Amino acid sequence: MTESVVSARHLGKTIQDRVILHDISLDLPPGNVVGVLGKNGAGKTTLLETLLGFSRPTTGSSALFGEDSFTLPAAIKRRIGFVPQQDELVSTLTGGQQLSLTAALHRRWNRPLIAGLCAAWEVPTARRIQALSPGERQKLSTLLALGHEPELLILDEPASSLDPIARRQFLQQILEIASAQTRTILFSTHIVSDLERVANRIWIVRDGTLAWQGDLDALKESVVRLNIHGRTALPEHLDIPDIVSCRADGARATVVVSGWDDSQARDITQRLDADVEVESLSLEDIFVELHR
Amino acid sequence: MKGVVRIAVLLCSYLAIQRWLLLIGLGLIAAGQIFCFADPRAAIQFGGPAVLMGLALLFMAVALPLGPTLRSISAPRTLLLIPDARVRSLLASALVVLALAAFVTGNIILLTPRLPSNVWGRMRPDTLFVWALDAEMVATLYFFCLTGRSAGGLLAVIAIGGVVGVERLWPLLKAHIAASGMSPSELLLLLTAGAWSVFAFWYLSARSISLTSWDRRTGGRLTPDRDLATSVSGSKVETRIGLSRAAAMRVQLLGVYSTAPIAKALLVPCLFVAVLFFAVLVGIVEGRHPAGRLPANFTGVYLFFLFFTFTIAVGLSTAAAAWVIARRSRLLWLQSGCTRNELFDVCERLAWRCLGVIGAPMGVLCVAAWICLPHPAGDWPRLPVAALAPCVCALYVGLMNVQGWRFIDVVAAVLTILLGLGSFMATPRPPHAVLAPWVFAAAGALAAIGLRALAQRRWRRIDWLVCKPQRYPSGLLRPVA
Repeated sequence: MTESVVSARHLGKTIQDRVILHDISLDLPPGNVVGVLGKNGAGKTTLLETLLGFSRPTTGSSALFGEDSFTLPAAIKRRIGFVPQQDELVSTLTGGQQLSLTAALHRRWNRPLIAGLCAAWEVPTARRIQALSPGERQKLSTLLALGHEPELLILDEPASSLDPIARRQFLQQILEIASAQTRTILFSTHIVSDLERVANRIWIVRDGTLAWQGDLDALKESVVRLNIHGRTALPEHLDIPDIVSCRADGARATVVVSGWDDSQARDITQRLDADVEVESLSLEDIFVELHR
Repeated sequence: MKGVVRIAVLLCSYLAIQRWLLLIGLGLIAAGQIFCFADPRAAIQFGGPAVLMGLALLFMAVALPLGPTLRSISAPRTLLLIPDARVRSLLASALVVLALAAFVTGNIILLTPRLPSNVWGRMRPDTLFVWALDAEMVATLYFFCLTGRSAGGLLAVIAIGGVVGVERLWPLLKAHIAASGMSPSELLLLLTAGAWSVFAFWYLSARSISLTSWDRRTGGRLTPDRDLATSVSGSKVETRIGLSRAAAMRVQLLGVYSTAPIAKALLVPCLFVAVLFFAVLVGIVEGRHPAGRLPANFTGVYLFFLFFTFTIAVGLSTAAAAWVIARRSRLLWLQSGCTRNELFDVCERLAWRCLGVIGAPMGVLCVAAWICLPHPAGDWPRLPVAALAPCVCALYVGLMNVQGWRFIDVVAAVLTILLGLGSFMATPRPPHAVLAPWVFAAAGALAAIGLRALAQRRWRRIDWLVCKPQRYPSGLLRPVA
């Protein structure tokens, strides 16, 4: 059986009496590109950083490559690259100096790769970091996490400050890096289009819990919108399983359900004496519906 | 007016540590005054020192953070959109300085009749008020401008023009001023008001004020790393590329390639403070004694104040440096491969190095002053010992503060301050004093060991979700316009 790159069991985190994460269990096999989606303050950063061992879970446990996150040995840390949400660069250095600094901390450093990416992403390495724009700082932070060629790359909102062209180019490069080897990439975002473009799996974090984890395609197939047109007034309770949201008005109703199976359509048609139109949703619509 | 008062209250209670220091300072003052009224014989032993300690804590809680706090609340560019926001902030800071000077003067007036006449001498209440006002304003403006390029010039104008000018140039100006009917304190007041007006003009007309030492958004923590870094970096770091792993960790933690420029950069302000102190003391002593008959222990008093001031400066800077180092250790958790215990050792070593780097210029000056100036024998050689223990304790207070300002952190900080004050107050006393200096030295050593153990224990479970480095928006990283 393949070893999970990332795993958690009943993970919970409370900071100053505020529950940030609650009962999260997950397993992530290698070679996946996972998008972590959630509203602001949903707990994405806390989840990623707890998985990385920056913080001890209040309840449960988490592991990377089978080792407890909180006490990760150096050999495991060498296999991980991390881009924090807020860059932690040394403002007084130039971009090139920051790269040299980080290279000195690692045993292995792929200089040609970084030089190539510096050119491709137009990172001004001669300029002092304090003079860089947020987007340039973000690119530099990402380069720092790529140089030692980690097997697991965790990026916390890596493209939030980039313009649309840079973001597309950046994500393309990330995909290439991921596909070149069996790397696992875990990135959080609230830009749904980015996630649809790159990820094959998705974790949706809602109020500190994992509202969905699985394949992106499975999520899209599973969550649908039903437009119900009754011949007579519809009952108050439609009695449809796994309703996410429901808006009913007389003989018409719009219902979003999760865990949808096409065989359910006939049952609803017969039971409610209505026409049922099944509508697929975009990821953005699914995300909005899940947060209603 | 209500808005001004509200900002004034905010300026005095911005940080948790400020509120705690205020509370403890006011408690000490109240207890000291009650002692003095209840038993005049205890005034000199307990009441007086308690009031003075309380006033020192008040000064640390209000006057020292006032400058950076004012700058911090003035930094957001959105403030420019609020009508009269800067005017109100400025008035609030002036109100705080005035209120503190009045409070200090009031307490000393209450205390004076109960102390021997040689303690305050012939200092009149109005003179005392003006001196207190000037001292607090100098501190406020100095710390406001600490990171700005105008710091040295402004400080020179205020301190030399305001304090030294009055005392040293008085004989030259006497004839002219006598004609106008002004007293020295009135002139000092005039100069103080003039300096404040210059500052006010600059403050109100500055297009942008950069964020400096405090940042409200992350809980109002002291962040001197950028100040140190920007003040010493220049272009010296440009050419260095090859780095060992240990050096890379040091740069990541400290934010500068070499600590030597920091020491060099600190030497000039230290020299300035030493000269300023000397001039001020000469001025005060000459004002109280006939010309040419300075008291024999004058230079001893000077050395005492020099050591005391430098100890506060070294202690605060070291604590702040250790605090910053602890926060910057976050990324090294993954990049260096070190365990939490190993990272504590690395950070501790670097904090000691900072103590050495910050303390070295001040130490050199103190030793030079010690060798060059005549000083009494006896307990005076204990000054360096008295200076060391609080600085070491301050180092560990900074290093252990990885969970925000919890009750135990406040207690540790207050104890360190009291230890420093106590050590210095006990040092020049004769051996039969109630608390001998060795008591403070032993207490300091024990406190340092205890704080180190506490810091080490906390680091075993350090939570870098809470202990994060400060973030500077790139647009705010320019010096004051």
